[in-house]
Amino acid sequence: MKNIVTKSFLIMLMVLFVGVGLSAQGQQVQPQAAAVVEQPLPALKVLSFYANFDPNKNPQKSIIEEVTGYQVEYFMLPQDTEKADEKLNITIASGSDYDILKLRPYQYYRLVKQGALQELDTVLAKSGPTLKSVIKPLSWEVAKYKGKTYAVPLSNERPNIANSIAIRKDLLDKAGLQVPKTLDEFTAVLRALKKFYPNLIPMTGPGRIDQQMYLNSFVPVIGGAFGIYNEWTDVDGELVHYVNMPGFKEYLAYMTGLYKEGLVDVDWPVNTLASCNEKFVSGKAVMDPYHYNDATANLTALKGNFPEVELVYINSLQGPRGAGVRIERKINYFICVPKSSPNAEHAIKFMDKMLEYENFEFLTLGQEGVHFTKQGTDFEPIMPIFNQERFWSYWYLMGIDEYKYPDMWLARIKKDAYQYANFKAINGNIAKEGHLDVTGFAPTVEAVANNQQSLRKQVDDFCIRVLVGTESIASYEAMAANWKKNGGDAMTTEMNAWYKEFVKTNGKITL
Amino acid sequence: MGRSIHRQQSGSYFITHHALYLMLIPGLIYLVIYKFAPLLGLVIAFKDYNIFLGENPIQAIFLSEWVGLKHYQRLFSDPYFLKVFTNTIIINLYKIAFLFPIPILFAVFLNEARNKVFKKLVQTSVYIPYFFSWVITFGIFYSVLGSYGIINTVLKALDLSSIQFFTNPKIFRGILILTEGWKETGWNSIVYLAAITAIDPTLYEAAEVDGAGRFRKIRHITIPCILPSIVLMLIIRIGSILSGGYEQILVMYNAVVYEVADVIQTYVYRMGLGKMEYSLATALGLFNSIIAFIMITLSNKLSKKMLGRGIW
Amino acid sequence: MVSPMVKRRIGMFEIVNYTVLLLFGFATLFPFINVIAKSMSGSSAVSSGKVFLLPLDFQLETYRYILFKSTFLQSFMVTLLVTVSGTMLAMICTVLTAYPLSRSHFRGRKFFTVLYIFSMVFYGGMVPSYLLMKSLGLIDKLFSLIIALLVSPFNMFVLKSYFEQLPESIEESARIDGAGDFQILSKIIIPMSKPVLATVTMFYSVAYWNDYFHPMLFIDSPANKPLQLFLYETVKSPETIIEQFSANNLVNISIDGITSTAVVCATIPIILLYPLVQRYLMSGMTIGAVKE
Repeated sequence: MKNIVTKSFLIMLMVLFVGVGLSAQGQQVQPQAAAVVEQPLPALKVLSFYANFDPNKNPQKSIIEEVTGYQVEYFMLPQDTEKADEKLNITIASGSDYDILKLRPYQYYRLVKQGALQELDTVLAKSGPTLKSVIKPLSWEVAKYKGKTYAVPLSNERPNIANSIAIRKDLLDKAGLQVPKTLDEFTAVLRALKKFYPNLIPMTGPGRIDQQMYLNSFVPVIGGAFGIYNEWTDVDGELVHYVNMPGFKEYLAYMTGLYKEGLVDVDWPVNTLASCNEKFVSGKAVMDPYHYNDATANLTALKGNFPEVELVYINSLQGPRGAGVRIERKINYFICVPKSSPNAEHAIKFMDKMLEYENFEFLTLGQEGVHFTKQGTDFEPIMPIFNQERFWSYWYLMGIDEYKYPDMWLARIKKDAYQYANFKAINGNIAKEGHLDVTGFAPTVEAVANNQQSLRKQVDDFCIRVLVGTESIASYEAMAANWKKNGGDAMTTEMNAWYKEFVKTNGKITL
Repeated sequence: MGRSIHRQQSGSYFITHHALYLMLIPGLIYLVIYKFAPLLGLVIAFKDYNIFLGENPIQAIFLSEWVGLKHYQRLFSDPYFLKVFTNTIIINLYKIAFLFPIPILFAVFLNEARNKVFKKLVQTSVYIPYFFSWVITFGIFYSVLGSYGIINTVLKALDLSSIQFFTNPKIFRGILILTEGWKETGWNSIVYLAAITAIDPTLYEAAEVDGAGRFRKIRHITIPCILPSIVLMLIIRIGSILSGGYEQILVMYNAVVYEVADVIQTYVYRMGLGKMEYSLATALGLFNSIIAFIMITLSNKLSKKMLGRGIW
Repeated sequence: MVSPMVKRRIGMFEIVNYTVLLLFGFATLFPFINVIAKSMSGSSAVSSGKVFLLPLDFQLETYRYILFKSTFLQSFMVTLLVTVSGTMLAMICTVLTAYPLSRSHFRGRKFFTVLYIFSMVFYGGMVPSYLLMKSLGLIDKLFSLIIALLVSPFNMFVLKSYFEQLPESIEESARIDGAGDFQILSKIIIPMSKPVLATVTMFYSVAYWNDYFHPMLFIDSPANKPLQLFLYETVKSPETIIEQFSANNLVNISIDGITSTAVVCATIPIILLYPLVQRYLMSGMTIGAVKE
């Protein structure tokens, strides 16, 4: 009998030991952190967005530690947007020990509204002189909540155009066709292509990518022909959502026509970004709605398959209501300090240090003559060392020098020849073809935070059903009414309240 | 018989078998701490939970406002709910009807194949798809069944009209069943293969002496011997009648086939996109759990009545 | 062991049976071979969907990237540690639970069984689970991943149902010889249950290996991320990988090639477990052997 009792105790002990052993294994970091506290500077814990690398094992981390004098430990949210939001909420609500959070705008507004973040005006005035001077007043304005600053804003590097339609010029030439400049020419080219290449898809397109900004099924360049460039448009000082733009129904009718005629991919509703790219790269499709980031992988593979390939990009088709695509100027991230952190001042000092111009240049581009060359405002990366040693620097950014970085950033695009060529081709005529998103600096107002994603999905689903013919375009009015009722009206009201106030104090936003 | 040792006074039973109770302890500790304690969180199904209230999310549970059955009213009063509820039931019933027997048949017939190398190879290859995520699985089937996939290319070469497998509401449920069958049959058959190993070989020998053919042996020996596993699996499967297949559908469906493929969870997912509705999600989860518990209890009762055995 | 059955002539049944099984085997195997072929093919061939069963424009840069340039290896080690220790611990707890519940004479059997059914069906939600782990101090600790799957009611029922089938007569005679419950379990029940123990061990290993949900919730440090997070994120966010192509001088690889390689590297180790388990599934004679 004793035997049995001993055995059972042994088992229980084993369970305990393995448990404690394993949790101790994970705790090794702890004493180290404790040791650091005794030094004058605390170790800072940074939570940021997902990227496909380990930021704590990257040399960039030690460079930052050297430059700023702070020990930093980096953490990441999950990749999946939904999961990242859930986790951020749970973590922050239950009192995390992070000192710095790098958040997307809607995450920032959600947390600041809940009172989960520290007000930074005082520490900024005391310890953030560089931050104050290199970030433009307008950006600081956007970071405010009820008149107080809760974050350091990180705006997008440089206003640019990202969308276009890529066309196989070599195939156009072979069929004796010109690059279309108007929507009518575009339709004619699609028809001619279908006739000339009966086995090819004139234009492919994705119906189901996880794209945050827009309808998945939407082709921005075609939307532009119907006067829809952005989610919100300023019509005589009033913001109108694309669903309510007069051109939206016409856009849908036009696309449905293309689908019926077989001029676009039959698999539109099912296509993912990958399957679109596959069709384009394999030569099964002649046109592909394109983002300049796709260039690197696609163009390399395309050239492998068709050495004679030549691509042109169009981002403007003159249509019944306009031409062109959107330009974004916005805040990408807000860098803030949670209430639970005792190190707000150190956090600001750390960010400030990173933005002192010498440090900033060294951290983002490296050493002149080693990693890059400079002629006036023209920066050129030196390869491959630039890529090897500064590739991930963008992930570590804690704010940018809004006056100098737009030029510096081009060096980062230039590190990939195809990507730069694309970028140039798409942005060559930015002033004429671009339409600035006037809501780029809008805070995520409550109605938008609550409704935007689910409403966008509803509209997207409607577009796909109309495209395929499951739903008649006649039900557009019913859909739009539904949209208004389910939060669209609330969104419009709140966005307009913000917009009018914004324009009153800051004037209309320009490039 | 030895039965007598168990017909003891309560006291002496617990003394004799105290070891059995000791054995249960690790599992019970786990169950109480890890599984039951968090169940208190289910009260947020009847509240408007705001995770940021108070000092921490637990306080937030207490501080959040009671709303009674509001979330259920919202779910059930939605005119579309009946549609997705029916879809959920239909899809799961189809899956049970078609996909539940296949792993059993697969195990039984694989057992009939005598060549051991063949058996091992088939078994291993059939089990591989289980390790593909639904995203990968969709990619594979898209390249076979897509408009420009293998099958449609062949159809085109034969001058036949193409088939829109993923956007035809008449076919789409079939695609759901096909892909799940492809992905999970091998995995689900493992339980039965393990059960078959427990069959006493002398039973077959005796049957052979009696001149029983292959199918009679399957019917009268193999199937009855693995019946406990079948019952167990079926009861558990019936429990997930409202929650089965959500991830698969989310990856594979599209707006064109909503009328046949939209299930409760995909619908609630779409409606709640970006809204952080902990309460609604919890309310739905609790509803599914209760239905599952009822289904499991009922099927267990039924199984006991008809087959004389159940899970408990 | 050559019985007369083996020499039987090949009938209609054999032909049909072998053909159907073979077709099914091919239908499941081909996509996997295709994934392997893609992982070793050049970028143009992969991204234009030309690769079927053999690699085209053979390259191994994808493997160089996944194995040495990505966080694969550290995630692999995390998963290995969690899977091995988790499976061991889970097996101990599960066998200890399943055995008493399988004894028909066990008093309280119904009550405890229903508890497990209950725990299988009801789930408190993400927030309470996270808070529990936080209050136990286990956030960002690998042990949190182990307890998350410690006693799977399903696996417990599979064991229990197998134990119930074992002839009670053997146990009775052991009891008459003075053996206690622990001895009966370790000396009689466990040796007789090798096939199902192997099966359930595999179920646990696969569950730990494939767990994506709990690491997503409980793990914060990139260094503690297990393989499934790595795999999921690699498959879901290829754009952050494309960016790295030029940085790593990887010219002949494609996104699809990278994701295929990630799938191959993350699944082959766990797939290889099955042939080991098969030994126990193929024998089919365990009980007879014990009886003698």
